[in-house]
Amino acid sequence: MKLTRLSLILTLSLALVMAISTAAFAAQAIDSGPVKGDGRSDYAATPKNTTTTYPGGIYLEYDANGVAKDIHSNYQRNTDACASCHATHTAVGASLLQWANVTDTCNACHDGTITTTYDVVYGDFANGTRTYGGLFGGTTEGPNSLSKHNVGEVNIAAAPGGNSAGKADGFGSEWGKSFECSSCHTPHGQGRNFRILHPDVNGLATINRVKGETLTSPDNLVFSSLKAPWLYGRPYNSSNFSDSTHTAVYVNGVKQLTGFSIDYKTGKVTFTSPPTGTVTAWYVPSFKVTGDVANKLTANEKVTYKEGFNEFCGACHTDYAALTRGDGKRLTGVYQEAYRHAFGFNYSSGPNKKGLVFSNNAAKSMTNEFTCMTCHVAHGADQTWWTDWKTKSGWEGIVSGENAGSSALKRLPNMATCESCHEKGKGDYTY
Amino acid sequence: MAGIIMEIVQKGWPISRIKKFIYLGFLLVAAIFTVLYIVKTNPINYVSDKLPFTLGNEKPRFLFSIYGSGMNGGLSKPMDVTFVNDRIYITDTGNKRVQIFDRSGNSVGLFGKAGNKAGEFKFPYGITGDSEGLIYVSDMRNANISVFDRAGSFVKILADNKQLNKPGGLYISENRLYVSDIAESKVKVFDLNGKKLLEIGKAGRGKEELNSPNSVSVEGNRVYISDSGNDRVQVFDTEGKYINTLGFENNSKTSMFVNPRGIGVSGGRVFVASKVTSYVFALDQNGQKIFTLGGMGQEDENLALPNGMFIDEEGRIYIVDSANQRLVVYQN
Repeated sequence: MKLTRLSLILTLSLALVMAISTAAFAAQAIDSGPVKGDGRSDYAATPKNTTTTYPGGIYLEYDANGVAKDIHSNYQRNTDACASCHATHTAVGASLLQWANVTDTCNACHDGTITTTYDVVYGDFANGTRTYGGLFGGTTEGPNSLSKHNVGEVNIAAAPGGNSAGKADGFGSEWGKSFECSSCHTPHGQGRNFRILHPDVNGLATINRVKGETLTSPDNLVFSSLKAPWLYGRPYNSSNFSDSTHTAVYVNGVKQLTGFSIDYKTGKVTFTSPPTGTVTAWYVPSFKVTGDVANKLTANEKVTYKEGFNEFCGACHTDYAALTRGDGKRLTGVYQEAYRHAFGFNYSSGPNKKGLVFSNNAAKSMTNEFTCMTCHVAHGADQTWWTDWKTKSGWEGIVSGENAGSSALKRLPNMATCESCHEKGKGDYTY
Repeated sequence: MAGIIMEIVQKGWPISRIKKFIYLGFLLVAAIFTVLYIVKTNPINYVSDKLPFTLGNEKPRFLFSIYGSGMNGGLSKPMDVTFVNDRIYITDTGNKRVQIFDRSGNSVGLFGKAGNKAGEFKFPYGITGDSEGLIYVSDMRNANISVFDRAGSFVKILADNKQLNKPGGLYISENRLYVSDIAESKVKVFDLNGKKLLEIGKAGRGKEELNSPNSVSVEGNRVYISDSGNDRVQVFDTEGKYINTLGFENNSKTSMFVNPRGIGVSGGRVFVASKVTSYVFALDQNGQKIFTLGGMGQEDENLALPNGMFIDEEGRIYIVDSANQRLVVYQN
């Protein structure tokens, strides 16, 4: 009897184990199967194109060697890379942007973890060479005089010298937007600017849209080449879009929908059949910022600033630059009047100006233009950056600490930026 | 087996025979587990590796997320994770420290502070543990690997800036520490006393060459390296001999990964975090995609720029969801 009961218990136990196992497998089976369309390999890649350039468009020229030039050109390798910033149906911002803060996305590579590009957090690149643009910091302990452009932390309206009310006006249309890396840079390189700087910073290029430039000689329909390249407007050949922001071409006052093409790079309109009469174009000339980078991403990298920096910075720091430039002798300012340091002049002679960076602006025939970049770095500065930057010339006798606490994004600490040109030194009371 | 059961049910066995049968069973199980213990093999992984099939298409099940400690603050730009000592250790990189959680996600402590002295951090990145329960943390900016005890007390510097340039991911297997040196584009292998044994890969874009490798993981004789700057995973053996490349399905010329980071291997599957596309891909042994986890977003089963990853012996997948400032945990 005992044995029968024991046998029964063993049999029932085995049956129970089998039942539980079967149920577990069944439960897994219910939830099985991949979700179609959730992986990037389900998407077709953007076609590779080694010859066509996109002067004002989505892509930079294709680079076979992304390291030597601009890595952002390699979008055709993987269309899902778009998804890190854009969402097709669930975007929270214009241009289908799905991020309120794009800075994290930029820092996925530009935080030092990909050494074939710039580390903007620490302000260097692979071999330890410091960048001209400085750093966003956050890598050192305690007070180190860090000052920076506060990407991801404030709205554009927080820019000193800007519209603190945050409302769009004639000097900018994006004051109320979050200030991100993408406020100053355009990852796709529209406008072909130096360091992929934004061709429509603070929406100012759109505000300055050319509202009807007319040519009466249709043989050579190049519209103000000095204002090229143009920003791409959305379909200029559609009647469904208003003329308030987009590119449009008229012949004798009639909007053209077909029969022509636009070279955005040069501002040239070409018709299939040359029209008679006047041709009028409405377009948005991009902010033009130029410069050279020699020996890019090597220890010998050398940056030369050229055109457009005062205007670019002035798009947000309106009172400090751009429209009401100061000369130190009169009140200037759109939002707040003050006496302001002069800029935009050629520093042709004078004291040593060591440690500062002047622009070679051929458009203004200036080889030493005094710009915002002369005294300031673009990203930020702190003691660590200065300490390493001291290896450059012009630092004789300068200590890398900042007495005032904030370093105000200066290229040199304390009053060294002033002294480099003004050389006041020890007071002279003998006059 | 069925015949034996039927015999027991129908005829009944003498009690001494049943006892002998049970004792023999116990002895057999004990012998198997003893052997597995001696050769340091996880029985679950051993069996799953020997089976002629993988776990199929079943996706891992989402368990929970960890956002940090209420008392000590949340995670800031977390970069990597490991599970050791029955604890979850996360490099809380933005805060320059390591946070510790129990298996259920409750905060149990933290260690480290900002600085460049021994045991301090500028950019704590890779993290792993050894069989003694010691914790190894790489610091990408201080260019060293610090060792801490299980409670977080600093023990020693295992390797410094003379041996490392920009250390990233860490993994310990068979008492060998694998370190991805991001700046030098190679994986360096040390013994646990800090003696360098081997280097795998060199800088470049060709086969067997690496570009900013951010993570390394070892399974058996295979060393999986996330070749982040080249958008692929390369597999070597433990002596540094190239085996194959993952990321290119069906001989495609374009990789399914963009800036791949953490790697984990479990149940015959290779998991790879594709950081910029915010997916974790699960591949079979041949590199074919089985399914993906995540996708950009902030919901439980979304990811935003996933970075480090670790899979524990029970098949739990720990994924550092860096831009969401959290760790997500799945059960494979």
